[in-house]
Amino acid sequence: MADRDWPVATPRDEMLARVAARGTRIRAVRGALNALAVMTVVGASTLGVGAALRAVSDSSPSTEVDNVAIGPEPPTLSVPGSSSNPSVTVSGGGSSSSTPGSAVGSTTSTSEPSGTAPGGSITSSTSGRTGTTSSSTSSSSTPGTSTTATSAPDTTVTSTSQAPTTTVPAPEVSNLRFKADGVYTGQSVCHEAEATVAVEITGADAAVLKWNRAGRTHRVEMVAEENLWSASIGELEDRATDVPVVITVEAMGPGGTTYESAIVEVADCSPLPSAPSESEA
Amino acid sequence: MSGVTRLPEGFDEAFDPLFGRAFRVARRILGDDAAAEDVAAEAMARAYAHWGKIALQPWREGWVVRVSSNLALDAVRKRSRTSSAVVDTEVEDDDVVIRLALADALSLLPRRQREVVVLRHLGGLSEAECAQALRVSPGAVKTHLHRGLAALRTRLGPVMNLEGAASHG
Repeated sequence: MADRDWPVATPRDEMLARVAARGTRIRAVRGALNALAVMTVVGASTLGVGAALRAVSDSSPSTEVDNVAIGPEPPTLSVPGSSSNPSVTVSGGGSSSSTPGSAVGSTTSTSEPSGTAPGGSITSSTSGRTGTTSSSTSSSSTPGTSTTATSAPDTTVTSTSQAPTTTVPAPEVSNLRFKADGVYTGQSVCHEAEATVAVEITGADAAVLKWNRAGRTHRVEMVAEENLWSASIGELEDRATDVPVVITVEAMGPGGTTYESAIVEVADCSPLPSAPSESEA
Repeated sequence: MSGVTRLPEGFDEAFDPLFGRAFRVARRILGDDAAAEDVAAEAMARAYAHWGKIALQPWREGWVVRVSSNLALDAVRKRSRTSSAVVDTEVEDDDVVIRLALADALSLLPRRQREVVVLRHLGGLSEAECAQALRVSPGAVKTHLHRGLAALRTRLGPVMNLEGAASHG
């Protein structure tokens, strides 16, 4: 076979050695490029998965709550029955005896025997990753429900989010309401009263209450008595009763973390004679 | 074969015929034995690198011819770019002019037409072998060949006679 049909001047063995050396280099370069491509794909997918996991785990609603509370106060958030029209709401638990009532809000005081629900409404939204959903819900539902306490339960919307990979059910948050002077006041709070938020939580190891007021975010650990968790939000320091307060209950348990945000109105519970009039405002 | 170690299985036996094909098609395009030898060696090196995939394929000869022809066309283009002045001074060499014109015309053909023309007329493969090498039907080979040659005739005009070149191949 030798060089009989060999077409070129270079001896066959020499050419074969040259081809083999060059082919080996091509193969090595190709393998390196393939490895680099695989590493790039794996790295990119790892980064992507990591980012997705972080995005899922970082589902705290505090950010959107902050946005709702700190941002400019839209006029639609003004609650009927505030300082401009104090007679609409009925006083809450600031003083159980002070139930001035009013011509418009009389249905509220009669519909709840305790006479403590001042016609406030509470609208809850839970752990939504879009703060706009929460805020839009509040702005649309609050004015409509502020004049009748009986409609409050109907307007309460509660949902929970759970960790997607766990089989243990996430904590359930329900029946969020206020308590002042030991008396449940329903779903609103007087602006000059010490108020406590009470909520029933099941399946939680710890719970935190957060709320925004005057551009600041407050946070306090909740204390449990069996399934009833409570925390004091103190006395709301300003009288801007036309701005609802956004509160968030963060319940943490072995099954994950459940967030429940609520927008609650601050009622002006001052007696009618001393209530600020529109001209004063 | 003492100087070469770890050759892929079957590569040594297939080396001579494949190298001969690669060399001949490159020489037809380049018109230069030394350059054709380099092109054929590069084509065989690529066959060596991909030997695991092409070793048992019936189209491996066509694969090598395609690689060799593509490398040769690239070399012609590169040569014409880098030494156009030299070519101009040797314009009396009709063979060089024809080769350059052919390389340019081939490079302007659609890929499939170019491959068919090169395999059939420069590589010397039959239509059936071309079809096997390109993994298309023989009818498709005829169609591409017809269109490719028609395009070459239009572009090259009287510069060269394709039918004659094919018959001499």
